[in-house]
Amino acid sequence: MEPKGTFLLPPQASTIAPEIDALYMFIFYLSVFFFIVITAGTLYFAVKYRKKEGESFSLTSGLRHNTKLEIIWSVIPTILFMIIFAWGWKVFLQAHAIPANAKTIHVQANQWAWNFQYSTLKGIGNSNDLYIPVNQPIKLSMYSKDVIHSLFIPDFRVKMDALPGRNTTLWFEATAVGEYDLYCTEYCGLDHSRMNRTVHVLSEEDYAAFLADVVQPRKFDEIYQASCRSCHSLDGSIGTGPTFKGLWGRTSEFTDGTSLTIVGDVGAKYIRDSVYNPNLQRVKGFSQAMPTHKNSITEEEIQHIVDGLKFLDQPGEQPPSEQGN
Amino acid sequence: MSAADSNTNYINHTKGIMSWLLTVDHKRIGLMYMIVVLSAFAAGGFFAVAIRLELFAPEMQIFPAAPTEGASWTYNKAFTLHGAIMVFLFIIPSIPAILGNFCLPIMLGTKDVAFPRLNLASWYIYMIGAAICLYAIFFGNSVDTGWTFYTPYSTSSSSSVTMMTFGVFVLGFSSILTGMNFVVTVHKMRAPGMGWFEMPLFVWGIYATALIQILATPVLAITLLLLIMETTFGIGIFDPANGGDPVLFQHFFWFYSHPAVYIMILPGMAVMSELIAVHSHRTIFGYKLIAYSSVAIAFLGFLVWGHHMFVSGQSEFISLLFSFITFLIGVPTAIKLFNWMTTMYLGQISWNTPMLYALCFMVTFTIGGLTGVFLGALGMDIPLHDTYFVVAHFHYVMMGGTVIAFLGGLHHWWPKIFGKMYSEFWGKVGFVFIFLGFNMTFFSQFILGQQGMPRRYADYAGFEKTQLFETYHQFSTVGSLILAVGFIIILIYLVHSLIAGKKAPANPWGGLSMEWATSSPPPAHNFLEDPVCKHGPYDYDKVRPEDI
Repeated sequence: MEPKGTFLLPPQASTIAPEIDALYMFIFYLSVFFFIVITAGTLYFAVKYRKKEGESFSLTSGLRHNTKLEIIWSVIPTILFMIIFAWGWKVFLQAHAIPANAKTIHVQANQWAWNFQYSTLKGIGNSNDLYIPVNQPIKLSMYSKDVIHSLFIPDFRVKMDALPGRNTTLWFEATAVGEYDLYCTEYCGLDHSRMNRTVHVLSEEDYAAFLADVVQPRKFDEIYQASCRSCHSLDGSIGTGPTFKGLWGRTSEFTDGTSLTIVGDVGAKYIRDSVYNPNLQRVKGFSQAMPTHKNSITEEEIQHIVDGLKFLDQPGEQPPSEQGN
Repeated sequence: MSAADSNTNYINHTKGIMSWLLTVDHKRIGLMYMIVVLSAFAAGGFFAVAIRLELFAPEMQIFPAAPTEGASWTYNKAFTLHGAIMVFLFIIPSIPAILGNFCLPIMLGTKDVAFPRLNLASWYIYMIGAAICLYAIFFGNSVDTGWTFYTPYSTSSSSSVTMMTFGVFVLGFSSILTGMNFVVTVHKMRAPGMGWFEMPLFVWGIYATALIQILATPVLAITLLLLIMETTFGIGIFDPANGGDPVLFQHFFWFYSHPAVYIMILPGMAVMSELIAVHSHRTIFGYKLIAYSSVAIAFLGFLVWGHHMFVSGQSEFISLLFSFITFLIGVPTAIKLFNWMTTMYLGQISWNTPMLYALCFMVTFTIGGLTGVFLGALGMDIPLHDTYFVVAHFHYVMMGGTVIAFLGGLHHWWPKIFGKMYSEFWGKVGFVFIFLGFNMTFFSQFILGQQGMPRRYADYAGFEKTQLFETYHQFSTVGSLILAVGFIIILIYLVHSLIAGKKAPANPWGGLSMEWATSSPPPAHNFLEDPVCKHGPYDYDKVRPEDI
C-alpha cells in the first residue's frame, strides 16, 4: 500500500521522512503562531490608531523603548531558534549516519542520465531507474562524470549532490513498496528537467528476481581483480601462487609426481578444479595457501577465466592491464 | 523665500541633455539611476512572465525543448537572465542607488555626497557593466548557467559566460564606489548638531549596506576573475579535470552572495523604518536596537554563506556552524519586526499608499523570514533545498521585503523627488493588484516546493507528481499576471502624475527628518540656508511638522 501525502507534505516512504516531518510540523505551528502575532498586532494597531479624515497632526506618545519588552522579544526567539537548531542537527545526523548493514549501490551521474550499479557475488548489474528492496538500509555512493548533479527523492526526504572528482554518500531505508519520483536538483544544463527517473521499491523476492535478471556474469578482468590478483601475477613474477603468464600451454609438475600440459578440454577441466578444489593437484614449489572459490566464482565465470587465460598468451594483444583498486 | 526661489529647483535650474549626463548633483544622478535600474526591472519582469507562462502546463509551451538555428532562446536562458538582471542590475542598486543617492545627503542636511564626481563615475561604470551584459545577451550567445554561475557547468557551457561575468565584474565596482561614497558622507558630512543617533534610520540601514558593499563585493570580483581565467586560459581552479575543486567556487560565490542578500534586504529595512515612523506619526520604538541590529546583521551576514551548501557534500561540522550562525541572524531580524509593530502603538496612522506598502512588508517579509527558519534547520533543509520552497522563500524576502519597501519608498519620496502628487486612489488600486498578485504567485510555490518540485525545471511532464504540480503552477502563473498588471498600473499613474499631478507641498506626510524641511523638489543645493539639526528625526512627541 503506497502511503498518501497531505496538503502540505508528500507521502512518507522512508524511515527518515517522519523524523523530518515532525520537525517540519513543529516549525510550521510556531511560524503560524508568530505570523498571527505580528500581522494581527500590526493590523490591530493600524486600525485602532488610524488618523481620522481631516484630522490634523498632533503630538503623539514619546514611548521610545521598554527594556522588559525588548528583552522578552529578544530572548524568546533566541530560545526557540536554539531548539529548532538542535532539532535540525539531530535529524541531520540521523540522515548522515549510515547504518553498518546498509547495502551499497554505486551511482554515476552525467548529463542527463543516472546509472545505478548493483554489485553482487555473481557480478555487476546496471539500471537507469533505481531499484531497491523495501525495509533495507541502502547506501548510495555517488559521483558525477561531468558537472554537478543532485539526487533527490521527495517521498524519502533525501537529497545529496553528485560531484565530479569526489565521492558523496547518501542513505535511506524505504518503508513501502511502490514507485517514487527521483529528480536531479542541481541545475546541470539543457535537459536538467528531464534528468528524472523512477525509484522502484520492491519486496525482497522481487528485488532478488530483479538482481538475477540484471546482473551480468563478470569478465576475466573483473574476476581476476576481485579474486586472483593478490597471489597470481600477470607479468611472470612469482607470487604466493604460480603466475598466469604463459599458463595456457604450460606443462606443470604437481606435488603428487604427475604433470599436465594445460590445453584443450583437459586444461579447462584442470582450471575449474583449481578454482573449486585447489589442493587436488598442487604445483610443485607452492604451499597449500589457496582457498576454494566455490562461493565467489560461478560456473559461467569459469569459462571467462579460461578464455582470459588463452587471451593472455596471444602475441601482439595487450594483456588485461593491472589496475589499482 | 522669494517667488523666484520657489520656481527654480534641481530639475529645471539648468537645461539640456549634457547638463544631466555631466551632472555631479546626487539628486540628478539618483534620477538617472532610476531610469536605467527600473528599465532593468522591466526587462527582468519580462523574463519572469515568460517563465511563468512556460510553467503554466507540463510539456514545453513557449520555449523550444532545445535551441535550434534561428531560435536560440531556451527556458534555461530565460530564468538565468531573470535572476541575473534582477539581482545584479536591479535589486542591488535599487534602493541605495536611487533612493539612497537622492535622500541620503538631504537627510544628513548636506549639499551632496562626499565625492560627487566619483558618484557620477559610479553611474557610468554601472552603464558600462550593463552594456557589456546586454552585449553578451544579444550579440553573444546569452547565458544559461543560472545567476549563480556554478562550476563546472559554467566553465563547460557554450554560452557567453565570460562576457556576462565580466559585465557583472564591472557592475561590482559601481557598487563598491557608491558604498564608499556613502560611508564617507555619513562619517564626515552630517549637519551641525546631528550625532550618530540623530540620523534617520534610513541612513543607518544604507550605511550598514555600504559597509557590506565595500567588504564583500571585491570577493565577487576575485571569484569572477578566477572563473574568467579558468574559461579563457584553462587554469585549473574549479574544474576537477584540471585539478580544481568545483565546490570551491560555491564557497567563493556565496562568500559574496550571502552578504549580498543583506545588501538587498537592509536597504528595504531602512526604508521600512521611515515609512512606519513617518506615517504612524510616532517616534520610532527602539531606535538604537534597530540601528545596532542593522550593523549586527551586516556583520553576521559574512558568516553564514555555507547554509547554501548543506547538501553539497561539505563537512557536517561546518554545516553545524553555519546553521548555528544562521539562527543567530534571525534574532536581530525578529527584533526589527517587533519594533516596527510597536512603533504603530499609540500612533496617528495614515492609511496612504506608502503606509499600505509598509503594512504589506510586515506580512510578506514576516513570511519570508519565518520560512527561512525551515531552511536554516539542517535536517529540514535536506528535502527543501533547491526546490520551489527556496524560490518562494527568497521571493518573499527579496520581493515581499525589498521590492515592496522600494515601492513604498518610491511613493513616500515621489512628491519630494518630482514635486508632484500621484493619485492616491490609483495608488491604492495598484497596491491591491501587487498584494494579491504577489501572494498568489509565490505562496503556491511553498506548497510546490514542499511537495518536491525542483527549481530551474523547464518541464514537469511524466512525473508521478505532474498533476499535483500543475495545479499550483497554474495558480502561480495567474498570480504573476495580476502582479504584472499591478506594475503597469503603477507605471501609468506615476508617469501621469509627472504631467498632470497636483503640486506637492514641502512636507506632504508631516515628516520631521530634514528632507521634509526643504522644498519639493529641492533646490539645486538641497537647502537655501545651511540647515542645523535641532531635533531627532522621529521626535513626534516634541515637534510639530509645521515647526521644522
